[in-house]
Amino acid sequence: MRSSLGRRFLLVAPLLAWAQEPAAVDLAGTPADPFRGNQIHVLLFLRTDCPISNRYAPEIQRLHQRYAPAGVRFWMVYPNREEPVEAIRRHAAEYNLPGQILRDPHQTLVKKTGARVTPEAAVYAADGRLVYRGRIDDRYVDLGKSRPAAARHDLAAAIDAALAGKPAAHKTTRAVGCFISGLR
Amino acid sequence: MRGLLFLAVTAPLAGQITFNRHVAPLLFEYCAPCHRPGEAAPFPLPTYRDARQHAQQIVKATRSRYMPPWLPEPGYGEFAGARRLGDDQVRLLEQWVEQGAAEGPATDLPPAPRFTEGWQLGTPDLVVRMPRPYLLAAQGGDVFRNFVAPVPLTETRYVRAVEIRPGNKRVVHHANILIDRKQSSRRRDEQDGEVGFAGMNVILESDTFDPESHFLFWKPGTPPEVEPEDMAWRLDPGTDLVLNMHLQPSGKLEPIQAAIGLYFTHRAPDRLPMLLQLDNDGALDIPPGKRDFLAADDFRLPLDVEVLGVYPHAHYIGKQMEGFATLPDGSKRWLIRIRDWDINWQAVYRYTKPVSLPKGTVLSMRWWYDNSAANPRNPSRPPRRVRAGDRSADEMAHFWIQVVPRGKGDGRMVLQEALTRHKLRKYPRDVALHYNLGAVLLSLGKTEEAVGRLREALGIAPDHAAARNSLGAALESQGKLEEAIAEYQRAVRQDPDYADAHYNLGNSLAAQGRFEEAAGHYREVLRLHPGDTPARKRLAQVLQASGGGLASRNQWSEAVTRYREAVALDPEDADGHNNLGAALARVGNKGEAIACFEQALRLQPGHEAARRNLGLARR
Repeated sequence: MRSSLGRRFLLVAPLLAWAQEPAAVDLAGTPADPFRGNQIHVLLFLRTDCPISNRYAPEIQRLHQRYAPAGVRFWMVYPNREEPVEAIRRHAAEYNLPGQILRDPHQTLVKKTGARVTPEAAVYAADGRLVYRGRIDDRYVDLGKSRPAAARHDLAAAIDAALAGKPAAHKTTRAVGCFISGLR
Repeated sequence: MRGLLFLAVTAPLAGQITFNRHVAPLLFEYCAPCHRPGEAAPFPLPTYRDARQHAQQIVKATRSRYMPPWLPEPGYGEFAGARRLGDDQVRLLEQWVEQGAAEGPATDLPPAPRFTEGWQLGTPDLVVRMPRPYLLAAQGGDVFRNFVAPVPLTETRYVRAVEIRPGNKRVVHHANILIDRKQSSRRRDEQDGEVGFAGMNVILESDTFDPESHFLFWKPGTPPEVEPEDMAWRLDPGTDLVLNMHLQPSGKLEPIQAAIGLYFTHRAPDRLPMLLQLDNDGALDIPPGKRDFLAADDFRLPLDVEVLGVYPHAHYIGKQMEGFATLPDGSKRWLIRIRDWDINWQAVYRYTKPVSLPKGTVLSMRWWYDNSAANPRNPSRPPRRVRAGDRSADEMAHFWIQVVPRGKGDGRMVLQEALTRHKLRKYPRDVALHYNLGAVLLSLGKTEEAVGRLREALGIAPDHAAARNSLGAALESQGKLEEAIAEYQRAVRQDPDYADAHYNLGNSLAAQGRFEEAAGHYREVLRLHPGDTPARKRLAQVLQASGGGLASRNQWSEAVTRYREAVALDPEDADGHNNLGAALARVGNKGEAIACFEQALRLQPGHEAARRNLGLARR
């Protein structure tokens, strides 16, 4: 009896051939590289069905309003490969999310940043170094346990530091939210 | 051959945890009531595809006991609809994910649960809705909002079930209905320009002993409660329902328009439950930084009861809660225990079997609060001194217990008396308590003591019209009519729209033969409540009496005026028609007089006086 190994091999081979590291794509399916240009990039990982990241939508809008004029670019990254493009488009419109919308179906950006939950932020300095990864602020302490208002605004502080060319006070913080599917 | 091969590849290894065999039954039972399309939870869970996408989330949420939400500690009360997962079940979910979250053979999958769409109890007999949607802001803290829903009824109905459809389940954390028999909340409605009014706890005004006796509560994923056959509750025309809702901003603007479905029965209740409120709001004065502030209350039952359910209530810094009963023999019976209070998951808990407690049992409430900065739920940063109040930064120490008094008669009065005395020991300057106790004593026939209590209330608050009115009633039942009239008169001076005081004053004046004055006060009742039948009948009677007086003084045309009004008010009264006829005959209007006598005889063919008068008139 022949095993199916040969067939599987055939399936894998072309994938390896065309992309070592499959790229994140925009909603039209075009590969997108959020690290181009000599500027600060903020990635925000989101899911359409995560109430915690949804609740941060107004805060994300505020951060964008504050930092986009300073040249900071914002990317909304949807890493759950099972979320349909249409659902993502609708979600981003419903919650009025700013910046560029990306899908990360191969979780390239997830691996690159080390993000584990939604919402989680990653900040890249103008020279392309990852300078911060973690929570937006400290409002959530655990699932179902939140403060009435945030006391520490870690993402804003990290962006401020990057704009000033200084290292962030904390390079990483623990984000509380919904797990990104498919992570072990 | 191929079939065998297929099995060999996909059949689970011995001991392997699969979705279809092990996980699906748990998700169906514990999660799917909320985690399905259109329900409160943010994502559905019933299928393998759903569950796999949230596999780690499931493990984390169940291990921390965040999900399924269920606050009572196991072993401290047997509750219907308990949703807590066992330790072995939590472990099983964990193992499933550790082993790779396998699906398993389709043949292992039990049938998916069936849920009723729309109204869970079928089409309601009456639906009342919020007049227009409330718009919840995208951001900010939790919102506690109350919506007044008038009930369009023309006659009294008995309610066997209420179904609350919150309108937007994703943002409504829980909802509670209060029965406002005096429309006392309407004036607060829309005062801030938005539909409804703010506040976590609503205080309703009532001047009759008519306790809220049922928990009318909604939380996600819980079917509406149908009351036992003999325990429906009364809903009168003119009653408002007040829907108290806990709303949580979602990140976008959310419209909310709730509907309440009412299901009626013809059967009036035989068993009258009562909600006992243990509380110690007065003791709440929690210094900033205090980690384990205790508020306690202990109440001794004056009779045997059966406990049907409980509802513990505190706000954000409430930490731990105990409710228990100490029986006369000294033994302790747990009613509930909550180790990690979370206002977001507050609920009514009903016992699988009523808990019988004998007379003399002490019911106890213990609430602990953490007002330190280390408590992430603390609404104030830095912590500030916390007292009782209905804002989210204030606190409450409540424990509601639904009981049915055992034995003959309406034991609620006995309970109410004991409970009010108990509360007066905690709050000796509380006017409403003195007043309530006075009212209860009065209805229990303890008039002397009632007078004392009511005078006490009026000593603290001389403008308390309801206490004034009750004092009048107490004096009236002691035969002190003059004094009663003086109290009623003060009550209607303080509140000219106080219909019951006008009615009582009318009765006392009528009893003294002051018919014209009495008529004036009955007319006031009818101005306020045009449909008030007893007041209309009373007015007709005093007009008759007044007409009689005028007639005896030969003032016949004035008598005709009174009788005419009386007949218009009470056209079914044969005597009235007869009297009007007699007065008309005296002023020479024979034709109309005959019509009156004939009408009297139509209403009451055996009416001797009318027959005689008719004969005389026709002569």
